[in-house]
Amino acid sequence: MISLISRLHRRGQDRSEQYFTAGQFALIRARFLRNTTGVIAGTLLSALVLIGFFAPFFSPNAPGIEGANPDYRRGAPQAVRFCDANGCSLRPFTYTYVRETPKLDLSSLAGGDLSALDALTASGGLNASAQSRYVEQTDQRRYLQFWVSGWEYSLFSIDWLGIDIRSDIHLFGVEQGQIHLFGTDEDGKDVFSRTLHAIWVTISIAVVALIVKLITSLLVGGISGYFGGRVDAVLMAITEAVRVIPPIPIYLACAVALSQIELTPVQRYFAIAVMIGALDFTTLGRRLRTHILTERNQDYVLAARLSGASTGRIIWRHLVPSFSSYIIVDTLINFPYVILAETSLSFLGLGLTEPVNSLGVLLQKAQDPDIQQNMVWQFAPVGVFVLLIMAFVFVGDALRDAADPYSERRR
Amino acid sequence: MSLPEMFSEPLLEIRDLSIDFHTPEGHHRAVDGLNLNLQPGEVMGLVGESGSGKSISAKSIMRMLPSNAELTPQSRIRLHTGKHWVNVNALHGRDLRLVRGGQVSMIFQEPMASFAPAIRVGDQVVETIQLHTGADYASARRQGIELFDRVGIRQPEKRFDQYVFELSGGMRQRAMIALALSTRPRLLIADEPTTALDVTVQAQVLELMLELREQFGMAMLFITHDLGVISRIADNLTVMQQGRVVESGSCNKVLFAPEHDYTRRLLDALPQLDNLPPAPAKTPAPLVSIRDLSIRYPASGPGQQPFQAVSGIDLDLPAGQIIGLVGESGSGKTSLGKALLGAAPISQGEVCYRFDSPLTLSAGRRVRRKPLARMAQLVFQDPYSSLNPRMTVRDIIAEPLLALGLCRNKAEVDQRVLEVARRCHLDVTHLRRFPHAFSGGQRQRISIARALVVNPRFIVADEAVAALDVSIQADILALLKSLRDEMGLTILFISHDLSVVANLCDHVCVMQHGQLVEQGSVRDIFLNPQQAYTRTLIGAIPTLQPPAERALPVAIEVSPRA
Repeated sequence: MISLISRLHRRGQDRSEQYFTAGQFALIRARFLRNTTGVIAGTLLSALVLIGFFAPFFSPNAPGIEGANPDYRRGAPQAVRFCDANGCSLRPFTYTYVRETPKLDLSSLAGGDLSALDALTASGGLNASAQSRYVEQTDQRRYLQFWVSGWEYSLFSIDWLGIDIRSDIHLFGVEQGQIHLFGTDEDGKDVFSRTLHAIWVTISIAVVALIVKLITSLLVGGISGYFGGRVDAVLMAITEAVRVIPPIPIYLACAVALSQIELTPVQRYFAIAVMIGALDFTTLGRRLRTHILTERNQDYVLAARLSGASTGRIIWRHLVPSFSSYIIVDTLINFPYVILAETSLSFLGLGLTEPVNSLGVLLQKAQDPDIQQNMVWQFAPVGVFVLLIMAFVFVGDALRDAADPYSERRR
Repeated sequence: MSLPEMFSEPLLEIRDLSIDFHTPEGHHRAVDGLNLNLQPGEVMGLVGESGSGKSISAKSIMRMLPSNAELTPQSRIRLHTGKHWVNVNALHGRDLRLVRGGQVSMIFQEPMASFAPAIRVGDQVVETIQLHTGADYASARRQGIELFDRVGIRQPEKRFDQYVFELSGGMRQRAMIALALSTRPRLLIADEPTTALDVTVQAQVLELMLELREQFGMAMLFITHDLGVISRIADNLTVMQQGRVVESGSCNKVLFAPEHDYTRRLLDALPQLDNLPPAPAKTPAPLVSIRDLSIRYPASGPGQQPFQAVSGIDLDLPAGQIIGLVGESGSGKTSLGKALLGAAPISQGEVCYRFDSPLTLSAGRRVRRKPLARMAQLVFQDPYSSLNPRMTVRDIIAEPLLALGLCRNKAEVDQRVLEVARRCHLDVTHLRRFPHAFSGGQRQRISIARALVVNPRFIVADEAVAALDVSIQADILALLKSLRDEMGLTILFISHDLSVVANLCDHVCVMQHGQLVEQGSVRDIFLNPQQAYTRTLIGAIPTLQPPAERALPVAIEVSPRA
């Protein structure tokens, strides 16, 4: 009994010792984990990022035209079932779909009667969606297979290191034919697979944009804040000038300039990312400047100077750690805005275009009246987009609350 | 109602007051079972160190607890309005004005922070009077100016229409007192009203409060950590430690026949002018010579004037001694200390270090930072802002070694850090902790350890104990003394607190308006001051006053447990 009490006591001590020796990031993590919304959003976000990164593995069909299903163009989402009239099965299944050949009475045209032609075209029987009606064959089940081999893809590749892990294993597929959870578009490309691939493209654009933004902000804010005086005045004047120019015209001009240069879709998308990032440094740059301006007058900076530390040492060992948490939080909170910027550019047709898969491109397609009327399932990427943005916003929010473990105690 | 009857009813009655704080680390009981009685006209001193719960208890009387604090259900605070009892904890809405200005007023520690900076001081007084008495603007203004006059503000009409930044420190505190008195409260709570003030101003404000007490006859709850101050003003004393009352009774009893250990420790920390250390037998050769030194800060912007902080100082700091540098705030003592370390702009003259390889700082010459840092270090006033919150204690202490490249490898650094940490009585098992885990006194030890780690010959301690509580101050002072005795360290000890200087230093220099007024051994300066300014400073030290010498006879003798 006594030993139990002493052990409990010791554990309590350990915990307090852990608390006292905890570094900044351990404290942030502990406080972040206490925030339920943040944890849920964080789980969702990491799931989305993971799915995005390994999109080929999770998608049953190739996202490009090579994976298009010519037998299932403009097809509706296929439901996955366990039970039907013919009984239940533990293994989920879909049905075989057969294209319904529209019965057109062409005989009336034989007489060369123009009014009959009018009637035929007005009936809508000739338009694309009437041409692609599919009937599910409820007696022909296609069972879902897991860990199936399909089209080959590169799971993980770093070109300059020569690493390229290739694989043809996919998480799921069907015995014969193809499965389309979110339906297909007008070429027969699988919307589900395209969406998964689009997540990664969009996130990687955001990452590139944010890195560019971070570097510009750190340079401008850091130099401005540490040296102050005239340097500060000039740099901040430039920042203000950039700030007052509305972004959309600049994007437009850049997009036009880019279209003059021959670029592959990938190069084009990096160019756009750099552009978004470089124009977005103003807010963070200004904040960093203010932060450094206040922080450099703290006693501990003077203490470091009197200890004989050089300017570089003061900046890197003493100043940067004090706002690293702030930068991380700001970057994460800005993720959605960068994604939105990319999306709106693509939406305007200035950013990425077909056949690249990005959430912006998929969203842009959704403005087509044909899709709005006949292929509502192509709105599925919108849902994923909203989910992604929300996850980022909530994680950023929770991180911001957790980021300064020292402020609360002082209050 | 006859007089004795009036006194039989206490003004304020606090029973079983306990206050809990909700913090991220769990519940924390700040006040535990406080009982207190206050008679009309009585001055009660509430003494204790920071964190002992004295301020928060006083705030609970005015119902001004922070949102994360909670009273326990059995806590009772009752106030007698003169007609009937009021349960303070049950007040709501407009009724709260009874304890917030109506019957109870408060004077805060920092008058600059307690006035609204963008509203004229007078308008704040007028607003208070109008709210509480319903007087019209003209008569409220007349009353306010009259009050300003009574609290000893010269040219009250002019001062009444000024902003708080235009007033000097003492003036601000007087205005604050006028504001508190404007509603004619029956109970005045004074929360460290003189702590932020210079010694001379502190004496004036204390004098004023004594006078007002006589004139207005109100009760006072006087909160302070300084027993010297309280001995001049209080009838009864309550000593608190960590939320509990450790001793209470009449002022004379507690101060001259203390029963509790803690009270005795507080008393020991007071200056004893009749027991000054003897002057050192001979004055050693100077380690630092200051010749005709002037410090001028360049203009901070266009249209600003450069600021002359120190002008033409000649001073020798003898090796191996502690030299005290005293003066009021703004006298240039901090600038002088910083200039010695090359952190303030020298506009004229020079500082010569007589190290093994001599080093000179002078106007227009670049500071040779590394050799200087090797020999001379600074201990900061504020142990909170001077330690980088993102570094462990070990890294903080090791920083000068690494920055100066004094050690060959990590083991050597660790060895040196451990040595110096032991020297400064730091628990070496705590070296991996971050500064947030330490109390003020421990932080100051860390700061001293950082200064000592490179084995310097000279240390500037800038108000090194000003932010600390009395009993912790004593520890740090003992540490500084032992460093002088055992390592032969020369220390320039900058302080506005003369009592600390009296107990610690060998030599004392007095500064005023950027100039050296007087210097000499501790005994010379304290017992035989030559200059008028020095005499004022010395006379204003709040020492313990025996009952016979008290300025006022104890008005009403009431035992605290009536």
